Amino acid sequence: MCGGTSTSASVTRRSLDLVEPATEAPASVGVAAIASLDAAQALPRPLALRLLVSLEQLIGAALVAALFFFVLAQVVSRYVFGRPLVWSEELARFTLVWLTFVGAAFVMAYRRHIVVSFFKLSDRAWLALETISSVVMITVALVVLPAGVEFVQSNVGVVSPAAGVPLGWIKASALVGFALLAIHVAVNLVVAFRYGREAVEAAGLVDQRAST
Amino acid sequence: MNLFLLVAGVLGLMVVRVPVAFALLAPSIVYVWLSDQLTMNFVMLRITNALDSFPLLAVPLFIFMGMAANASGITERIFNFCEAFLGHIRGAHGYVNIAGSFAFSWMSGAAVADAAGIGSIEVPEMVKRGYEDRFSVGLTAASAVIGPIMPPSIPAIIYSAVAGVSIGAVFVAGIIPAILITGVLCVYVFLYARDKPHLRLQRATPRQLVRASGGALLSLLTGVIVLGGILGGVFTPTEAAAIAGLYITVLGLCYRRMKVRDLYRLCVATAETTAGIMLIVAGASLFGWILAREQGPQTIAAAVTGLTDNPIVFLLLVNVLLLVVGMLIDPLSAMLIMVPVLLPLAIGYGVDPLHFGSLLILNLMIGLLTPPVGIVLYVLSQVTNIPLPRVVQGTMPFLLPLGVCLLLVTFIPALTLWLPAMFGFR
Repeated sequence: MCGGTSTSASVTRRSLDLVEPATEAPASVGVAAIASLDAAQALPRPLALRLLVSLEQLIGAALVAALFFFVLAQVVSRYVFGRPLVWSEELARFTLVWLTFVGAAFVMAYRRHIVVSFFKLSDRAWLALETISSVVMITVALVVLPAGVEFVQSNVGVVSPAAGVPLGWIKASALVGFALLAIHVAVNLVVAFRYGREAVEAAGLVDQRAST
Repeated sequence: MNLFLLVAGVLGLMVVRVPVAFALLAPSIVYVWLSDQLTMNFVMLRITNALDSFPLLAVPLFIFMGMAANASGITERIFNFCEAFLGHIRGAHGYVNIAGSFAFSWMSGAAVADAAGIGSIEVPEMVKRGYEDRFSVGLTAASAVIGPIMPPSIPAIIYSAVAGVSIGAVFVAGIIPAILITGVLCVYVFLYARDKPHLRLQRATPRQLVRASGGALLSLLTGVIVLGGILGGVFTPTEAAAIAGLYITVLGLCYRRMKVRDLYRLCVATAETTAGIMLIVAGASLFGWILAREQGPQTIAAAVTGLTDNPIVFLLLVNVLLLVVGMLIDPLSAMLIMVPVLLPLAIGYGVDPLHFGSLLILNLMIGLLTPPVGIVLYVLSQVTNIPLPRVVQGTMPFLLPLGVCLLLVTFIPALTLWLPAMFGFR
């Protein structure tokens, strides 16, 4: 299942050597998945972008932790204090919505969104399809964004029933998500043109074929 | 006509390597744009609402749990435990492999986590002990299918969200099919090892047995928390996932296999996998809504019911269709696209949604073992360093026993429906 594992144990190892030969071997497969995340940062990209990706990761991890906290809080309140919390479930659900969009952004930066690969491609065909799919994705984001702004505005005044969170804050996740996705797609395309397929794949930035 | 263009659009975009989530979104957005009654606001509403769901919360929590189980050395403890108890039987490591997957399936909901974790330990061990590499890797691939059939199961969570049935019921429906696969694979190992008496270890001493049990006891308790909690009605599946995840984390930290720093990495990896899946869920939700609005299920139903009015023939056709789809598309995307179309049809033929879910999940999991998109094959090839063509060769013979299981699950509804009824899920 885990996203990274499938991408490439072998590619990962190669790219790790490229970056910092001293890196200790990952303890096990579960964690090896993530070692490739560091490797992916190896491709020369603007500092601002690296910081953005790191920030997205940090927020993603924090949201996973928050999810655990809210769901556990619900169990504890029910069984230990005998009084179920009203707000925990709602906050957990909102956390998942944000997690999806923030996570989707950095997954895009690592090119790990699930792609169906039907054929083996020459380098030129790869670049051509890369361009087409990038244009499709950026168009989707650009069409959705203006509507998103309106959508968020119309929801700011509405408050969630249990936790009292303005729904606009939740709906803003999609807005932020699509904006970040568009940025990463554009950067990925520039990187693909500038460094070529081989360098991209050597850095562990390989499209995911599937993930279950 | 609209319907045809929509579906063709999605498939066409997938062929040119647009990520699945966007391949679903783009034609749907064009549809909304062309429509007089729908606005882009609706797109945003639909995709955010699809994610705002308590059952789906179980997805990240179970993903974390499976990864944490691999990272904390629990996989190895289970392996040692199985080896101690089964080592003296002829064909021992075949059974150890299956039993390991079976035990691991209680704490993992995905075939790939199972293949990566168990495969990296068991395949080298089996090859060292004189088993053919093709057999070892094929068996590992086949037994990895148990993971997502046995609860907890990520595909089952997604199915229950799309089909609108209770997660608990879909989980419980998977238990007997999982045991069935385990049994059938054991028969396969028995036949394989019939004339190979050297494939066994010395019987473990009582002392070794106690040691191995002690090492694995706390790990095996995870399954009790998940299954017991859900079956006993103590927790919802989402809550069970959170508690078991916390429990495995504490175990891993106590066993000193996981450091606090690894926790951060596990959370990032969980966020990564979750986002990849959930973005597709969001896209599929919009796409599925439009399909329903365009009367997609009814149109296809009319075509299919023209072909046959026999539920058995219908289920056979569904199985063939799903096997083909499963070979080409990853299971979750396939499920999200196919369930809104096929489930109403199946219900029309009098097939129970639980029964349908089980055969659908098993079918698509078999698709994980077939090229060109057999992700389990890629993972196994990577973690064992056995070349992909050999992994494929080794796995092919196991499609037969798995196919037998699929047919049994398809045509004996009691296998999936009896246990949920026992536990009062209907």
